[in-house]
Amino acid sequence: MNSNAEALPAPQAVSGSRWPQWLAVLGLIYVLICAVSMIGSGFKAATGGQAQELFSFASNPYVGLVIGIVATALIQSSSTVTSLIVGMVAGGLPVGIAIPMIMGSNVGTTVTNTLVSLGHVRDKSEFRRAFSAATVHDFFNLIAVAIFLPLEIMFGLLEKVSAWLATLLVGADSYSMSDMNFMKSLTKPFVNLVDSVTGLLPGAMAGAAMVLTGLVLIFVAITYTGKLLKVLMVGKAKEVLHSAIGRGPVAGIASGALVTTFVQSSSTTTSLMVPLAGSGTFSLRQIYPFMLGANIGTTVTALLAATAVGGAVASSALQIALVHLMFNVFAVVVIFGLPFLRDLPIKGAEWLADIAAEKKIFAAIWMLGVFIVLPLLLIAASMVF
Amino acid sequence: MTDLEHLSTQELKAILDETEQRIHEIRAELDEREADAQHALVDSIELSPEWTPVKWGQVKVFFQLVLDELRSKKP
Repeated sequence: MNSNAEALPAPQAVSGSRWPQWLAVLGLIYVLICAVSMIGSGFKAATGGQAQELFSFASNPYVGLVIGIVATALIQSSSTVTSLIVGMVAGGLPVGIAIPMIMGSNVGTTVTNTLVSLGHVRDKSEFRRAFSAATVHDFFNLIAVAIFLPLEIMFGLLEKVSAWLATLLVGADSYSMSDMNFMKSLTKPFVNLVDSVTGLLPGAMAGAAMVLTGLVLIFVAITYTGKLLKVLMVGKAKEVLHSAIGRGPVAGIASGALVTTFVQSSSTTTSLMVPLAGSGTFSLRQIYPFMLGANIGTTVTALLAATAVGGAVASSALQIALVHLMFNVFAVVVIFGLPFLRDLPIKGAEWLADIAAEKKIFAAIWMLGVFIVLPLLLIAASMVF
Repeated sequence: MTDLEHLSTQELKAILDETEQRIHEIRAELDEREADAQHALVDSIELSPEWTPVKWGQVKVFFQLVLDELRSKKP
């Protein structure tokens, strides 16, 4: 392992059955689904059914993109933000406004592994390798947005394809009868309990409190699910990584997706890859597919969140979750699939790492630039044009 | 060093075949060592519930080094 690696504490000894931990995971998934349902109903109440008008400022796709970038960079969890977005769509936020937020979330989540790479700064070569492994993810996601956001603005590509797919899966009119809404009947007791407390507040504040409660519960559920799954699934995750060694990039992408699904966190997967690259044992070209796979694997959470939504908006909630999935799959197919695009993220990452290894200020400029300056510039540009 | 001009065509071809075979074996050995090192590194991964990806102390060190770098440039 690289010289900069901290001695990680040994995994907790699991004595006997793991059933209590798995039950805890199921319980937390239940909390997550309830929380998404709370956000949906709270958002609807808070906006009084006027979500489109209230969020008209975010109808500018660059504003939506910035919201996604900043929210995810601050919370450091794309799963939390995308689950929140699913809930908001269930509460009436138009899918078209939510799509750039989803894209922004993809960019914002890369801040974590970039921060991890900074820990290798004391050794120039190690830092070069680690920083390039982290920023290849940044470059890929930025290129994905550069390609697909204009396509979305011009043609509504993701919105149309996801709408078709969602209607196929959920149906336009199905789930409108409460007796078919199994999820709603499961989540109703907990949601009503929270509603009985937040409902004491007047008017829209009750809805806002419900949204806030839902957001906190999503964050807690995802965080603690991640903690439990790290222990429960680390063996399986290692098996998957072992199986990908020596194989091609498609195996790398599949492994990255599987490991991320197991641990329910793209930040965990990508942050694990950075020290592997920093040590020099894995090359940047070998790490790159894992990063892409992590992008795909993390979409499972939003799909899970969408199961919380029933009734007439079930299709919309599923639609935005499918947007998240399709955006990442299409990005991999296009950018990794096309030979003249495939190496762009690698070239960008290597160039940046070379200059950042010589002058660390460039690494700082990159971080501040992508996650703070770029969002501000986009908003300013959108106001001018 | 072999004086190639004095070797027959057949001998040169044999040397070439042997050399190519040797290169192939060396590449295979290097690939195997690389894979072994990668397997060992994956095995060394330990994840605990307390594990967090970002070590903020190290991020602080990074920014301190950036400031030192900027100060060292000042005349």
